[in-house]
Amino acid sequence: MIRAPFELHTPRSIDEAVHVLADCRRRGEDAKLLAGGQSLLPALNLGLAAPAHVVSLNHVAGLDDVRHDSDEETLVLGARATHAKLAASEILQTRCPILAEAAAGIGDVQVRNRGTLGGSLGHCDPAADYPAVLLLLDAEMRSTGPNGERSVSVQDFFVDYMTTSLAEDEVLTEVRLPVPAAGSGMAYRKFTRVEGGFAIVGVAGCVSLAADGTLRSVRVCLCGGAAVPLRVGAVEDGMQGRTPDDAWLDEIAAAAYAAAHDPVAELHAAADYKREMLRVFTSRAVAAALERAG
Amino acid sequence: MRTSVRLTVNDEPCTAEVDPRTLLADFLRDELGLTGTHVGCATGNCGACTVVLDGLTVKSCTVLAGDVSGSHVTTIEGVSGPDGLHPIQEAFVAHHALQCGFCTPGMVLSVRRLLEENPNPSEADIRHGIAGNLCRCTGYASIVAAVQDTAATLTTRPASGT
Repeated sequence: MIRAPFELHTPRSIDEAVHVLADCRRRGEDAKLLAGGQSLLPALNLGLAAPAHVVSLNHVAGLDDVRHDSDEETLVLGARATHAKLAASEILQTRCPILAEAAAGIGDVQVRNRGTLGGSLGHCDPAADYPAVLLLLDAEMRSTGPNGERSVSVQDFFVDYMTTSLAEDEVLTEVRLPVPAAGSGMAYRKFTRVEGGFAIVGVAGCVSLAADGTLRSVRVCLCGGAAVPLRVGAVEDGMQGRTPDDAWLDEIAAAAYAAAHDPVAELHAAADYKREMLRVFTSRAVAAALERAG
Repeated sequence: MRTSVRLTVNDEPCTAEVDPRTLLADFLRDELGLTGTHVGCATGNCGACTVVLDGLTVKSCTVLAGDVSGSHVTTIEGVSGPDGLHPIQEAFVAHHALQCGFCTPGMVLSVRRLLEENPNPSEADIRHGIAGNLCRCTGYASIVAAVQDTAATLTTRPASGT
């Protein structure tokens, strides 16, 4: 049972939701957006959050579409698309399997049936899986506020521990990402204590190969290396023309270890341990990406 | 402030005015007296409160009743038919797949959904399908056996009318 009282709003459109949020902001009253509720409801039940207003996005039509915009070669994901929907999406399985793979690994069946992409991104838990994957994919977040729509790049969206660049009266509506180029392989690998547990660390890797089997490019993004997802810039230079071998893989894993400058220590994993695990899981993610490349 | 809730639960329509804080799990238990839905953790971890909401299993402690008005819900009370227990429930009894029974309603609903999607699950599929339902008594082995047995029974049973 939730102890702190709140008012429940069920707007029918994004504009109406923004209006409610702006109203709350003006009055200086706390409001929380509700989508799948897989983070918010536990927080309310435990008394970790006690907003005066809960604004549900579950009555806004069309907010959970997943589509391929072929004019711009862009994938457009509605913020309220559930993890189950993304995991089962043929569009993603064909054009961006790493995102379907990450979605399929979140929580358990019931959590995936209810939890949403936008909810996870807005919650901004440093152990969430989407941030590192979306950083790898150069995603763009679209939101609507009192002044209309705006877009922010994925690098600028995640600001700090459980903090995004969204304003209090803004609603995340859509994630857009360029369709990954043919010939590139991607994989997401994470380390959890039990199935369905939060990622202690997670690594998203991308490898592109030239026709002769030499490397064209490498990209690695980390979950668990700091309060926000990290891009391992050091692996992006000087890779072209090299042959992928064991020494190369060790070098990339070492770069990930070095980039993980500030892991958030937790009950089951000290900061040093997370850095070591990032080394291991970078190696696994990049090896899997290489296998899928070409 | 009250919020109105209109649901179809186990094929029966129901309406009520409730506090907006009311969880779907509490609505089922306290308003409708359907106490087969158990609340273990209230944090979406244990799965004891699993129900079927518009065709999908969800943890009803993480859903506000007032936010899903208009939906169809199936609870454990809606699983057994007029002829008695559902085959999954019979297999749970036969395999001692419960001890204290607290997790069982949610477990049965997750298993039912799993078998609808995958009538011939491997052991790994079964363990993956019930990962959201914690049991602290059985160690899961007897539950897995009960699910395998149910799958075998349901797939070999001739279709009705033949």
